[in-house]
Amino acid sequence: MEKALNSMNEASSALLREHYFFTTHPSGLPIYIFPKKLTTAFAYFAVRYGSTDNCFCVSEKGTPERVPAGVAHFLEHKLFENEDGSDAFEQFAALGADANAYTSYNKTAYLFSCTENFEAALSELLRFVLHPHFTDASVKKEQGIITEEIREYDDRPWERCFQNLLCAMYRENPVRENICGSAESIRKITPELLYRCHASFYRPSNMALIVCGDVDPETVLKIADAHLPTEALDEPIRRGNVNEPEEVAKTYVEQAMQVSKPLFSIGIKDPVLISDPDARLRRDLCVNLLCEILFSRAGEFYSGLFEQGIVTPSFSYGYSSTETFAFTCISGESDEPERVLALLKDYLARVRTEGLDREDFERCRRAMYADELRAYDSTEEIASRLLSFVLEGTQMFSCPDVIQSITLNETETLLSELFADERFALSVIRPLK
Amino acid sequence: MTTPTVYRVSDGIALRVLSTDRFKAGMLSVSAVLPIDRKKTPLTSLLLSVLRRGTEKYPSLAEINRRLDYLYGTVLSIRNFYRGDCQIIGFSADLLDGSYLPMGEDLTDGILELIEEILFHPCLDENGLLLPKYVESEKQLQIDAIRAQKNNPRVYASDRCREWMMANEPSGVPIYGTEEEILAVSTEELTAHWHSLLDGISFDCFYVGQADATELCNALRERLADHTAERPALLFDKDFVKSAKVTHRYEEELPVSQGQLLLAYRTGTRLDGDGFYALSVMNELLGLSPVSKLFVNVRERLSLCYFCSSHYNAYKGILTVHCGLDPKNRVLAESEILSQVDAVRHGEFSDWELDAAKKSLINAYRQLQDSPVALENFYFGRTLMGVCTTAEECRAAFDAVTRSDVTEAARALSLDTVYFLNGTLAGEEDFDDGEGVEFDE
Repeated sequence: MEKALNSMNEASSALLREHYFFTTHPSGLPIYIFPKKLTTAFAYFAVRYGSTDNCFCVSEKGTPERVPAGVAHFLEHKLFENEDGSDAFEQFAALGADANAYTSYNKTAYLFSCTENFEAALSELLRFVLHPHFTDASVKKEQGIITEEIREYDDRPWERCFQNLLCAMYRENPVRENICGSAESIRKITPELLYRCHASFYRPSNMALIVCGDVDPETVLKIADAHLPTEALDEPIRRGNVNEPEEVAKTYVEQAMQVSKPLFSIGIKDPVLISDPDARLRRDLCVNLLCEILFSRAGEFYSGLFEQGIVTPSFSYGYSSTETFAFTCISGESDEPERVLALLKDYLARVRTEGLDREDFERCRRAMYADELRAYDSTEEIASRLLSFVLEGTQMFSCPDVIQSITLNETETLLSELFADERFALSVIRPLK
Repeated sequence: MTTPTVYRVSDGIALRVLSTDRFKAGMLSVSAVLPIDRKKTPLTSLLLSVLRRGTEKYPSLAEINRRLDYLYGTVLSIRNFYRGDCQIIGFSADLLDGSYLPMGEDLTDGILELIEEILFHPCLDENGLLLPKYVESEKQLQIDAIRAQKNNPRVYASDRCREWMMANEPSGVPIYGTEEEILAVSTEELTAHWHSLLDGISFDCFYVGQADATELCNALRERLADHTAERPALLFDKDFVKSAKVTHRYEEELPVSQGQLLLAYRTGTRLDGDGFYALSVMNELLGLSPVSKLFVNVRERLSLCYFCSSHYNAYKGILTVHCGLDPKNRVLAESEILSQVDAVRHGEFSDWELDAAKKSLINAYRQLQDSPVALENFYFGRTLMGVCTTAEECRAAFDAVTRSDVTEAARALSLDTVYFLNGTLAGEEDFDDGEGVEFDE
């Protein structure tokens, strides 16, 4: 233990009374271990490869190759299959561990939770993710399953509303594409393509291992040694450039579906993409605080619309930012989505002139700060958050301090910059006639 | 962590406390257990929302929410759900421990004050009636919510199957009622319902966290005891429907692309029965995990669906298999589900499958102690049914389940209801390019 800890760095937070260890394995894999005295241990083995990485090449020269939409997600499904025809779920089940996986716009994550046999389960996680096995028959079979998965998402109006909004906001960015792809795009997927994508992205230096629980860091490092190569591959992964205009592609989209009342998502595209991770985190927290002040259920905008019966309690808001896209999104249910948009623009114009209320600012900052504290009660939540911060290249423990350091001025400056007219898009799901 | 300590706060308030410093945020719930009633249950649902709209001290939703923000963003959730044939109503809150707050504040009394305000001092008009504008607004929202159930075909199908199956049992009553029922509610009627509901109400409270139990008892007594009365005997009915004599079939359709197939069985066993452990293992083996019979065969081998799983409602003794599929695969899927159930009945599963099912349950029950919400749910449900087993005892009991226990549990299944929600947009594959009809402004 001594030796392992000596070779690891430590981050700690006096406020949260928590700490974690981290190091980079000789293979290039970043390893993070967050000790937590809870019964459930959680591990994530994730790759910086999501649905938006559909145009890439792995050499200094050469033209990036465009692959069909949905490959990253397809690969996630197929990796569970072993060469002997068994699947990885069986190995986890035999250990009493619960395994799962998901694909997002910019990552694919494989995970398990367990209350015993942690070491064997961690070995299995590293083994199966690094050992692909695909055949024509198994790829064909998966096409049927994923087609049903796509169909299920197609029947979810909120998800359609959001996906349509992304298509309205973005002209070029691959975030437009459904994470699962389409029934048509996944028919183009072959074992060879899956092997090629796996070889390109699933390399330790493009991945991260996150463990949270009552575990011994030295054991984690030993297991990593047993499964990982001893040196890093340094071929760069080059992703295709996206020339995304600042303004939205379309200001309005709608679709008719089985809904009782129209649903809406208003997106406000943020063209400011920040490559410095710390600066991006600060902006992300500032804009989220601003959203809290402007749109929360305790605020004037929501309660005004709600008391007048214009929106229902199904109302949400937030700001997302990555290196390649950033936007504010406000979603809800209303018989008059266009009116909600008009009232929103009026409200923002008024607040821009009058300025934010100091008391609202303090109240929202206090609630947001407290949410940070609450995030450290479950090994699952800790591991999942830590993974996001690691892949983004930011420090998780810096959040409470950053939140406390945000000033009213800073949020007012953002308020004046963020909501330009040409950045608004409205997506509506209307009831079928 | 051991079993909860029970405190009798007053004649009408019981508090169960699990003292632990494992969590930064503890959990407090205040619940009342009511019998389900065709007329009163939907009224109660409406009442809860109206009460939450504003109080004497915090007269609007915004004021209540602002108060919660000051209590460090504490989330105060309304509880309103069924456990067996009982309606559970009340509140739950996540409470950050004072030792993590800048001034060491204790949030408990702040939340209890809000609960007291909401329940006993809502906004009233000059005639002592619940504020008509809040009543009218919440009636409309409840009607909207009833209509919106169809927005999620998966949940809608599961609710409809339950309603058909339990048409003659209390829990067949839709918790929000029907549009017509809600439209007909008057402010006078709802105000009268509020008075009669709170007259002699009793509360079951549950707390997981670091707070001092004596102080919590005092705070509960001060805030709520004046309004409560002697606790009634356990409400849970000893009697329940143990088997189905015939299988009923229901079919509906919605303009969606995926079909929903549900097969609902009577099991003869509830949480309070001897067979609970065997049934849980059988359910796990049949359709709960990615190595279960249904996942491996209906999804993986036959590639018929994205999900096919089983769910055991131990408060009602009902096991439901649910599958989302292309409607054209319906007959094939149903026959495969039936043959997988038969396979379990005939003991056609390996020792490995049995062992994996037991391990999965044991793992899940060990994980309970990592979540205040899961702990509350576990102990609250058992208290309701008069069952005193601890999570540890449950694990030992799962481990002791034998192959013949499992086959016996499967043989006791009788198919009560087959429900199919036909997706009429199926077959229109790629019916849009994912963007729908578009207009440029």
